[in-house]
Amino acid sequence: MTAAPRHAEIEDLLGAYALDSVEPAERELVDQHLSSCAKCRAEVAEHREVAALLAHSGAPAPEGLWDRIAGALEDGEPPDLQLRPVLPFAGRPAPAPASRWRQGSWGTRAAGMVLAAAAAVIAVMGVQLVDQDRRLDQMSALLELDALDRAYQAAVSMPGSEVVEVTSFDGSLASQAVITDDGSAYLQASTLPPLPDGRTYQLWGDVGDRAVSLGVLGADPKVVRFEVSEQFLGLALTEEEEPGVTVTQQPILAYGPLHDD
Amino acid sequence: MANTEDMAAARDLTLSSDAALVVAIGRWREDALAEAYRRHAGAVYALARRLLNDPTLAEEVVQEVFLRIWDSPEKFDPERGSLRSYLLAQCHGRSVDLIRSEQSRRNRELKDHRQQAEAGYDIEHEVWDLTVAEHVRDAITGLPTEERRAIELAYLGGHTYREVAVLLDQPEGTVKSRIRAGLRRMRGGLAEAGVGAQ
Repeated sequence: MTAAPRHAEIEDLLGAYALDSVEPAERELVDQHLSSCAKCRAEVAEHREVAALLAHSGAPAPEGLWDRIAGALEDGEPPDLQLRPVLPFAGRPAPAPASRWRQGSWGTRAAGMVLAAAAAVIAVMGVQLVDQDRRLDQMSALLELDALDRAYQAAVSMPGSEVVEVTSFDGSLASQAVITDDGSAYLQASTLPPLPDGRTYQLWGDVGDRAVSLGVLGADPKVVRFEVSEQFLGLALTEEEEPGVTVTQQPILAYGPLHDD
Repeated sequence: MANTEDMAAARDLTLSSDAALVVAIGRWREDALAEAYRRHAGAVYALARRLLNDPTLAEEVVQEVFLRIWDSPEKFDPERGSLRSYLLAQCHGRSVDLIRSEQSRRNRELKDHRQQAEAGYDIEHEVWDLTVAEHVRDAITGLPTEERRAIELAYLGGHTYREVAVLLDQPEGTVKSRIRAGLRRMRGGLAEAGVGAQ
Protein backbone atom coordinates (compact mmCIF):
# COMPACT_ATOMS: atom_id res chain seq x y z
CA MET A 1 0.00 0.00 0.00
CA THR A 2 1.13 3.50 -0.54
CA ALA A 3 0.83 6.65 1.51
CA ALA A 4 0.25 8.74 -1.60
CA PRO A 5 -2.92 10.83 -1.40
CA ARG A 6 -5.91 9.61 -3.29
CA HIS A 7 -6.75 11.17 -6.61
CA ALA A 8 -9.90 12.69 -5.14
CA GLU A 9 -7.93 14.44 -2.39
CA ILE A 10 -5.62 16.00 -4.94
CA GLU A 11 -8.56 16.98 -7.15
CA ASP A 12 -10.14 18.77 -4.24
CA LEU A 13 -7.03 20.95 -3.97
CA LEU A 14 -6.88 21.91 -7.65
CA GLY A 15 -8.93 25.12 -7.38
CA ALA A 16 -6.91 26.46 -4.46
CA TYR A 17 -3.70 25.28 -6.14
CA ALA A 18 -4.51 27.18 -9.34
CA LEU A 19 -4.94 30.35 -7.26
CA ASP A 20 -1.64 29.83 -5.37
CA SER A 21 -3.72 29.33 -2.29
CA VAL A 22 -2.28 26.07 -0.95
CA GLU A 23 0.48 25.49 1.59
CA PRO A 24 3.99 24.74 0.22
CA ALA A 25 3.76 21.04 1.15
CA GLU A 26 0.42 20.73 -0.64
CA ARG A 27 1.81 22.55 -3.64
CA GLU A 28 4.58 19.99 -3.83
CA LEU A 29 2.08 17.13 -3.66
CA VAL A 30 -0.04 18.59 -6.43
CA ASP A 31 3.03 19.37 -8.57
CA GLN A 32 4.08 15.77 -8.26
CA HIS A 33 0.63 14.53 -9.20
CA LEU A 34 0.33 16.90 -12.17
CA SER A 35 3.54 15.60 -13.68
CA SER A 36 1.70 12.35 -14.45
CA CYS A 37 -1.97 13.34 -14.69
CA ALA A 38 -3.05 15.11 -17.85
CA LYS A 39 -6.65 15.40 -16.66
CA CYS A 40 -5.72 17.36 -13.55
CA ARG A 41 -3.24 19.47 -15.54
CA ALA A 42 -6.07 20.41 -17.85
CA GLU A 43 -8.29 21.30 -14.90
CA VAL A 44 -5.66 23.59 -13.38
CA ALA A 45 -5.23 25.30 -16.75
CA GLU A 46 -8.98 25.86 -16.92
CA HIS A 47 -9.07 27.36 -13.43
CA ARG A 48 -6.24 29.70 -14.38
CA GLU A 49 -8.07 30.84 -17.49
CA VAL A 50 -11.08 31.72 -15.36
CA ALA A 51 -8.85 33.49 -12.83
CA ALA A 52 -7.25 35.45 -15.68
CA LEU A 53 -10.66 36.84 -16.53
CA LEU A 54 -10.88 38.23 -13.02
CA ALA A 55 -7.65 40.16 -13.35
CA HIS A 56 -8.22 43.76 -14.16
CA SER A 57 -6.24 45.52 -16.88
CA GLY A 58 -7.60 49.03 -16.56
CA ALA A 59 -4.81 51.36 -17.53
CA PRO A 60 -1.64 50.33 -19.28
CA ALA A 61 1.41 49.54 -17.18
CA PRO A 62 3.32 52.59 -15.91
CA GLU A 63 5.37 54.58 -18.37
CA GLY A 64 9.05 53.82 -18.41
CA LEU A 65 8.60 50.24 -17.27
CA TRP A 66 9.03 48.82 -20.76
CA ASP A 67 12.24 50.82 -21.22
CA ARG A 68 13.66 49.27 -18.09
CA ILE A 69 12.69 45.79 -19.27
CA ALA A 70 14.15 46.41 -22.73
CA GLY A 71 17.32 47.71 -21.07
CA ALA A 72 17.62 44.57 -18.99
CA LEU A 73 17.33 42.35 -22.09
CA GLU A 74 20.88 43.07 -23.15
CA ASP A 75 22.12 40.51 -20.66
CA GLY A 76 20.02 37.93 -22.37
CA GLU A 77 21.13 38.69 -25.93
CA PRO A 78 21.97 35.68 -28.03
CA PRO A 79 25.63 34.73 -27.95
CA ASP A 80 27.80 35.69 -30.88
CA LEU A 81 27.80 32.71 -33.17
CA GLN A 82 31.18 33.63 -34.66
CA LEU A 83 33.58 32.08 -32.21
CA ARG A 84 36.76 34.04 -32.46
CA PRO A 85 39.95 32.11 -31.89
CA VAL A 86 41.13 32.86 -28.40
CA LEU A 87 44.86 33.46 -28.35
CA PRO A 88 45.62 34.98 -25.02
CA PHE A 89 49.14 36.09 -25.73
CA ALA A 90 51.50 36.54 -28.58
CA GLY A 91 53.70 33.60 -29.34
CA ARG A 92 53.46 30.25 -27.72
CA PRO A 93 53.20 29.76 -24.00
CA ALA A 94 56.50 29.05 -22.33
CA PRO A 95 57.00 25.48 -21.22
CA ALA A 96 55.77 25.25 -17.70
CA PRO A 97 57.30 22.51 -15.67
CA ALA A 98 55.55 21.69 -12.46
CA SER A 99 58.29 23.29 -10.38
CA ARG A 100 57.79 26.61 -12.15
CA TRP A 101 54.05 26.56 -11.60
CA ARG A 102 54.66 26.02 -7.95
CA GLN A 103 57.17 28.85 -7.86
CA GLY A 104 54.43 30.96 -9.27
CA SER A 105 56.43 33.44 -11.28
CA TRP A 106 54.13 36.21 -12.48
CA GLY A 107 54.69 35.37 -16.11
CA THR A 108 53.50 31.82 -15.85
CA ARG A 109 50.80 32.56 -13.33
CA ALA A 110 49.39 35.28 -15.57
CA ALA A 111 49.60 32.96 -18.55
CA GLY A 112 47.82 30.29 -16.55
CA MET A 113 45.12 32.72 -15.52
CA VAL A 114 44.59 33.93 -19.06
CA LEU A 115 44.42 30.39 -20.35
CA ALA A 116 41.97 29.50 -17.65
CA ALA A 117 39.91 32.56 -18.47
CA ALA A 118 39.98 31.67 -22.15
CA ALA A 119 38.88 28.15 -21.35
CA ALA A 120 36.09 29.54 -19.20
CA VAL A 121 34.97 31.86 -22.01
CA ILE A 122 34.91 28.97 -24.42
CA ALA A 123 33.05 26.81 -21.92
CA VAL A 124 30.48 29.51 -21.25
CA MET A 125 29.98 30.19 -24.94
CA GLY A 126 29.70 26.48 -25.54
CA VAL A 127 27.00 26.26 -22.91
CA GLN A 128 25.22 29.27 -24.35
CA LEU A 129 25.32 27.77 -27.81
CA VAL A 130 23.95 24.50 -26.54
CA ASP A 131 21.29 26.45 -24.64
CA GLN A 132 20.42 28.41 -27.72
CA ASP A 133 20.20 25.28 -29.82
CA ARG A 134 17.92 23.73 -27.26
CA ARG A 135 15.85 26.88 -27.09
CA LEU A 136 15.48 26.94 -30.87
CA ASP A 137 14.58 23.26 -30.94
CA GLN A 138 11.94 23.84 -28.33
CA MET A 139 10.69 26.86 -30.22
CA SER A 140 10.32 24.99 -33.48
CA ALA A 141 8.52 22.23 -31.61
CA LEU A 142 6.23 24.88 -30.18
CA LEU A 143 5.63 26.40 -33.61
CA GLU A 144 4.89 23.00 -35.06
CA LEU A 145 2.57 22.25 -32.18
CA ASP A 146 0.80 25.54 -32.68
CA ALA A 147 0.36 24.81 -36.38
CA LEU A 148 -0.90 21.29 -35.67
CA ASP A 149 -3.24 22.54 -33.02
CA ARG A 150 -4.69 25.09 -35.42
CA ALA A 151 -4.98 22.46 -38.13
CA TYR A 152 -6.83 20.26 -35.66
CA GLN A 153 -9.19 23.07 -34.70
CA ALA A 154 -9.75 23.92 -38.35
CA ALA A 155 -10.47 20.29 -39.17
CA VAL A 156 -13.03 20.06 -36.37
CA SER A 157 -14.99 22.98 -37.75
CA MET A 158 -14.68 21.88 -41.38
CA PRO A 159 -17.99 20.73 -42.90
CA GLY A 160 -17.96 17.01 -43.58
CA SER A 161 -15.42 16.27 -40.85
CA GLU A 162 -16.11 13.34 -38.59
CA VAL A 163 -15.20 13.56 -34.93
CA VAL A 164 -14.32 10.24 -33.36
CA GLU A 165 -14.07 9.63 -29.63
CA VAL A 166 -11.23 7.23 -28.95
CA THR A 167 -11.84 5.97 -25.42
CA SER A 168 -10.93 3.10 -23.14
CA PHE A 169 -13.63 0.69 -22.10
CA ASP A 170 -13.73 2.04 -18.57
CA GLY A 171 -13.69 5.65 -19.79
CA SER A 172 -10.44 6.51 -17.97
CA LEU A 173 -8.63 7.28 -21.23
CA ALA A 174 -10.18 9.57 -23.79
CA SER A 175 -8.92 11.42 -26.79
CA GLN A 176 -10.62 12.87 -29.79
CA ALA A 177 -9.77 12.39 -33.44
CA VAL A 178 -11.13 14.33 -36.36
CA ILE A 179 -11.21 12.97 -39.89
CA THR A 180 -11.68 15.35 -42.76
CA ASP A 181 -13.32 14.66 -46.10
CA ASP A 182 -10.02 14.05 -47.86
CA GLY A 183 -8.89 11.42 -45.36
CA SER A 184 -6.38 13.52 -43.47
CA ALA A 185 -6.95 13.18 -39.78
CA TYR A 186 -5.73 14.53 -36.44
CA LEU A 187 -5.69 13.03 -33.00
CA GLN A 188 -5.80 15.34 -29.99
CA ALA A 189 -3.58 13.13 -27.87
CA SER A 190 -2.64 15.61 -25.16
CA THR A 191 -5.34 14.17 -22.92
CA LEU A 192 -3.40 10.90 -22.68
CA PRO A 193 -1.26 10.52 -19.57
CA PRO A 194 2.49 10.56 -20.28
CA LEU A 195 4.17 7.16 -20.38
CA PRO A 196 7.41 6.20 -18.66
CA ASP A 197 10.72 6.40 -20.54
CA GLY A 198 11.11 3.77 -23.20
CA ARG A 199 7.37 3.41 -23.81
CA THR A 200 5.29 4.94 -26.58
CA TYR A 201 1.69 5.20 -27.69
CA GLN A 202 0.94 3.77 -31.10
CA LEU A 203 -2.12 4.49 -33.22
CA TRP A 204 -3.72 1.77 -35.35
CA GLY A 205 -6.34 1.54 -38.05
CA ASP A 206 -8.71 -1.42 -37.56
CA VAL A 207 -9.28 -3.15 -40.90
CA GLY A 208 -11.27 -6.08 -39.52
CA ASP A 209 -8.81 -8.95 -39.46
CA ARG A 210 -5.73 -6.93 -38.49
CA ALA A 211 -4.48 -3.53 -37.39
CA VAL A 212 -2.48 -1.19 -39.61
CA SER A 213 -0.04 1.13 -37.89
CA LEU A 214 -0.94 4.77 -38.38
CA GLY A 215 1.85 6.21 -36.35
CA VAL A 216 4.10 5.98 -33.31
CA LEU A 217 3.08 8.86 -31.08
CA GLY A 218 5.79 9.00 -28.43
CA ALA A 219 5.45 8.95 -24.66
CA ASP A 220 3.75 12.32 -24.22
CA PRO A 221 1.96 13.10 -27.46
CA LYS A 222 0.09 16.32 -28.24
CA VAL A 223 -1.69 16.73 -31.58
CA VAL A 224 -0.70 14.21 -34.25
CA ARG A 225 -1.59 14.07 -37.90
CA PHE A 226 -2.28 10.84 -39.76
CA GLU A 227 -4.11 9.51 -42.81
CA VAL A 228 -7.07 7.18 -42.86
CA SER A 229 -8.51 5.10 -45.66
CA GLU A 230 -12.08 3.99 -46.33
CA GLN A 231 -11.41 0.43 -45.26
CA PHE A 232 -10.86 1.43 -41.63
CA LEU A 233 -13.55 0.33 -39.21
CA GLY A 234 -12.05 2.12 -36.26
CA LEU A 235 -9.01 3.66 -34.59
CA ALA A 236 -7.15 1.95 -31.76
CA LEU A 237 -4.40 2.96 -29.36
CA THR A 238 -1.86 0.66 -27.78
CA GLU A 239 1.16 1.13 -25.56
CA GLU A 240 4.37 -0.31 -26.99
CA GLU A 241 8.10 -0.40 -26.35
CA GLU A 242 10.01 2.37 -28.10
CA PRO A 243 10.37 2.68 -31.10
CA GLY A 244 7.04 1.01 -31.82
CA VAL A 245 6.14 -2.21 -33.62
CA THR A 246 4.75 -3.29 -36.97
CA VAL A 247 2.38 -5.88 -35.50
CA THR A 248 1.00 -5.29 -32.05
CA GLN A 249 0.66 -7.94 -29.39
CA GLN A 250 -0.59 -5.49 -26.81
CA PRO A 251 -4.12 -5.01 -25.51
CA ILE A 252 -6.06 -2.09 -26.95
CA LEU A 253 -6.02 0.85 -24.55
CA ALA A 254 -8.65 2.90 -26.32
CA TYR A 255 -10.84 2.47 -29.37
CA GLY A 256 -13.01 4.72 -31.52
CA PRO A 257 -15.37 3.30 -34.17
CA LEU A 258 -15.53 5.07 -37.53
CA HIS A 259 -18.93 5.65 -39.05
CA ASP A 260 -19.48 5.41 -42.74
CA ASP A 261 -21.44 8.16 -44.31
CA MET B 1 14.08 47.60 -48.08
CA ALA B 2 14.82 46.83 -44.49
CA ASN B 3 12.07 49.24 -43.54
CA THR B 4 9.35 47.44 -45.42
CA GLU B 5 10.64 44.18 -44.03
CA ASP B 6 10.55 45.61 -40.53
CA MET B 7 7.06 46.91 -41.09
CA ALA B 8 5.90 43.59 -42.41
CA ALA B 9 7.48 41.87 -39.43
CA ALA B 10 5.78 44.28 -37.04
CA ARG B 11 2.45 43.81 -38.81
CA ASP B 12 2.88 40.05 -38.59
CA LEU B 13 3.54 40.32 -34.89
CA THR B 14 0.48 42.39 -34.12
CA LEU B 15 -1.61 39.80 -35.95
CA SER B 16 0.23 36.84 -34.46
CA SER B 17 -1.32 34.38 -32.09
CA ASP B 18 0.16 34.38 -28.62
CA ALA B 19 1.84 31.06 -29.35
CA ALA B 20 3.49 32.43 -32.49
CA LEU B 21 4.56 35.46 -30.49
CA VAL B 22 6.28 33.26 -27.96
CA VAL B 23 8.02 31.40 -30.77
CA ALA B 24 9.35 34.76 -31.99
CA ILE B 25 10.46 35.57 -28.45
CA GLY B 26 12.32 32.27 -28.54
CA ARG B 27 14.18 33.62 -31.53
CA TRP B 28 15.31 36.56 -29.43
CA ARG B 29 13.01 39.02 -31.16
CA GLU B 30 12.63 41.94 -28.85
CA ASP B 31 9.73 43.32 -30.89
CA ALA B 32 7.80 40.13 -30.09
CA LEU B 33 8.36 40.63 -26.38
CA ALA B 34 7.27 44.24 -26.81
CA GLU B 35 4.06 43.05 -28.46
CA ALA B 36 3.40 40.57 -25.65
CA TYR B 37 4.02 43.42 -23.22
CA ARG B 38 1.65 45.69 -25.12
CA ARG B 39 -1.09 43.06 -24.96
CA HIS B 40 -0.75 41.90 -21.40
CA ALA B 41 1.42 44.15 -19.23
CA GLY B 42 -1.52 46.29 -18.11
CA ALA B 43 -3.30 43.27 -16.64
CA VAL B 44 -0.12 41.85 -15.16
CA TYR B 45 0.74 45.16 -13.51
CA ALA B 46 -2.79 45.69 -12.19
CA LEU B 47 -2.85 42.23 -10.63
CA ALA B 48 0.56 42.68 -8.99
CA ARG B 49 -0.41 46.08 -7.70
CA ARG B 50 -3.72 44.79 -6.42
CA LEU B 51 -2.00 41.99 -4.54
CA LEU B 52 1.04 43.86 -3.28
CA ASN B 53 -0.52 47.24 -2.69
CA ASP B 54 2.83 48.75 -3.64
CA PRO B 55 3.45 50.27 -7.11
CA THR B 56 7.24 49.94 -6.99
CA LEU B 57 7.14 46.30 -5.98
CA ALA B 58 4.44 45.67 -8.60
CA GLU B 59 6.70 47.10 -11.33
CA GLU B 60 9.48 44.81 -10.20
CA VAL B 61 7.18 41.82 -10.48
CA VAL B 62 6.08 42.82 -14.00
CA GLN B 63 9.71 43.20 -15.02
CA GLU B 64 10.51 39.78 -13.59
CA VAL B 65 7.57 38.14 -15.35
CA PHE B 66 8.52 39.51 -18.77
CA LEU B 67 12.22 38.79 -18.32
CA ARG B 68 11.31 35.27 -17.34
CA ILE B 69 9.41 34.63 -20.54
CA TRP B 70 12.30 36.17 -22.47
CA ASP B 71 14.74 33.80 -20.80
CA SER B 72 12.58 30.69 -20.79
CA PRO B 73 9.85 30.98 -23.43
CA GLU B 74 9.68 27.21 -23.70
CA LYS B 75 8.01 27.06 -20.30
CA PHE B 76 4.86 28.50 -21.87
CA ASP B 77 2.82 25.64 -23.26
CA PRO B 78 0.01 26.91 -25.51
CA GLU B 79 -1.77 23.61 -24.95
CA ARG B 80 -2.16 24.45 -21.32
CA GLY B 81 -3.76 27.84 -21.68
CA SER B 82 -3.43 31.33 -23.08
CA LEU B 83 -0.36 33.51 -22.77
CA ARG B 84 -2.37 35.97 -20.72
CA SER B 85 -3.31 33.39 -18.13
CA TYR B 86 0.27 32.11 -18.09
CA LEU B 87 1.71 35.56 -17.44
CA LEU B 88 -0.93 36.33 -14.85
CA ALA B 89 -0.29 33.01 -13.10
CA GLN B 90 3.44 33.82 -13.02
CA CYS B 91 2.67 37.26 -11.67
CA HIS B 92 0.25 35.91 -9.11
CA GLY B 93 2.67 33.25 -7.87
CA ARG B 94 5.52 35.73 -7.54
CA SER B 95 3.36 38.36 -5.83
CA VAL B 96 1.98 35.83 -3.40
CA ASP B 97 5.52 34.68 -2.56
CA LEU B 98 6.42 38.28 -1.79
CA ILE B 99 3.33 38.82 0.32
CA ARG B 100 3.94 35.67 2.28
CA SER B 101 7.54 36.61 2.96
CA GLU B 102 6.47 39.85 4.59
CA GLN B 103 4.57 39.07 7.70
CA SER B 104 3.90 42.64 8.77
CA ARG B 105 2.37 43.49 5.41
CA ARG B 106 0.49 40.27 5.65
CA ASN B 107 -1.06 41.15 8.96
CA ARG B 108 -2.11 44.51 7.65
CA GLU B 109 -3.66 42.91 4.59
CA LEU B 110 -5.45 40.31 6.63
CA LYS B 111 -7.15 43.15 8.41
CA ASP B 112 -7.99 44.93 5.13
CA HIS B 113 -9.39 41.81 3.60
CA ARG B 114 -11.40 40.91 6.65
CA GLN B 115 -13.14 44.21 6.14
CA GLN B 116 -13.59 43.51 2.45
CA ALA B 117 -14.92 40.04 3.13
CA GLU B 118 -17.44 41.59 5.43
CA ALA B 119 -18.39 44.14 2.83
CA GLY B 120 -18.83 41.29 0.32
CA TYR B 121 -17.45 43.37 -2.51
CA ASP B 122 -14.57 42.88 -4.82
CA ILE B 123 -14.13 40.89 -7.95
CA GLU B 124 -17.05 42.26 -9.88
CA HIS B 125 -15.12 45.53 -9.95
CA GLU B 126 -11.96 43.94 -11.26
CA VAL B 127 -13.00 42.75 -14.66
CA TRP B 128 -10.51 43.47 -17.39
CA ASP B 129 -12.29 43.90 -20.66
CA LEU B 130 -15.53 45.72 -21.31
CA THR B 131 -16.53 43.34 -24.08
CA VAL B 132 -16.58 40.43 -21.68
CA ALA B 133 -17.14 42.41 -18.51
CA GLU B 134 -20.85 41.86 -18.46
CA HIS B 135 -20.63 38.10 -18.88
CA VAL B 136 -17.87 37.83 -16.31
CA ARG B 137 -19.88 39.94 -13.91
CA ASP B 138 -22.90 37.72 -14.47
CA ALA B 139 -20.80 34.64 -13.85
CA ILE B 140 -19.45 36.15 -10.65
CA THR B 141 -22.75 37.37 -9.33
CA GLY B 142 -24.27 34.02 -10.26
CA LEU B 143 -21.98 32.35 -7.75
CA PRO B 144 -23.22 31.54 -4.29
CA THR B 145 -21.86 34.25 -2.00
CA GLU B 146 -19.65 31.87 -0.05
CA GLU B 147 -17.92 30.64 -3.21
CA ARG B 148 -17.43 34.17 -4.49
CA ARG B 149 -15.89 35.38 -1.26
CA ALA B 150 -13.59 32.39 -1.02
CA ILE B 151 -12.32 33.00 -4.57
CA GLU B 152 -11.80 36.72 -4.16
CA LEU B 153 -9.93 36.33 -0.88
CA ALA B 154 -7.74 33.59 -2.34
CA TYR B 155 -7.05 35.14 -5.73
CA LEU B 156 -7.15 38.88 -5.21
CA GLY B 157 -6.26 38.79 -1.53
CA GLY B 158 -3.41 36.32 -2.04
CA HIS B 159 -4.52 34.25 0.96
CA THR B 160 -4.14 30.51 1.41
CA TYR B 161 -7.41 28.64 1.64
CA ARG B 162 -6.61 28.01 5.30
CA GLU B 163 -6.40 31.73 5.93
CA VAL B 164 -9.61 32.20 3.98
CA ALA B 165 -11.22 29.63 6.27
CA VAL B 166 -10.20 31.70 9.29
CA LEU B 167 -11.36 34.95 7.67
CA LEU B 168 -14.74 33.50 6.78
CA ASP B 169 -14.99 31.38 9.89
CA GLN B 170 -15.63 28.23 7.90
CA PRO B 171 -14.03 24.77 7.87
CA GLU B 172 -10.88 24.51 5.71
CA GLY B 173 -12.22 21.59 3.70
CA THR B 174 -15.37 23.52 2.87
CA VAL B 175 -13.40 26.53 1.65
CA LYS B 176 -11.12 24.35 -0.45
CA SER B 177 -14.09 22.71 -2.12
CA ARG B 178 -15.89 26.01 -2.59
CA ILE B 179 -12.97 27.57 -4.41
CA ARG B 180 -12.91 24.68 -6.85
CA ALA B 181 -16.66 24.50 -7.22
CA GLY B 182 -16.88 28.27 -7.76
CA LEU B 183 -14.22 28.28 -10.45
CA ARG B 184 -15.95 25.42 -12.24
CA ARG B 185 -19.31 27.10 -11.96
CA MET B 186 -17.88 30.32 -13.38
CA ARG B 187 -16.29 28.47 -16.23
CA GLY B 188 -19.59 26.79 -17.00
CA GLY B 189 -21.42 30.12 -16.93
CA LEU B 190 -18.84 31.79 -19.12
CA ALA B 191 -18.79 28.94 -21.60
CA GLU B 192 -22.57 29.19 -21.90
CA ALA B 193 -22.23 32.89 -22.59
CA GLY B 194 -19.60 32.11 -25.21
CA VAL B 195 -16.77 33.79 -23.29
CA GLY B 196 -13.61 31.90 -23.86
CA ALA B 197 -11.82 30.71 -20.87
CA GLN B 198 -10.04 29.21 -23.87
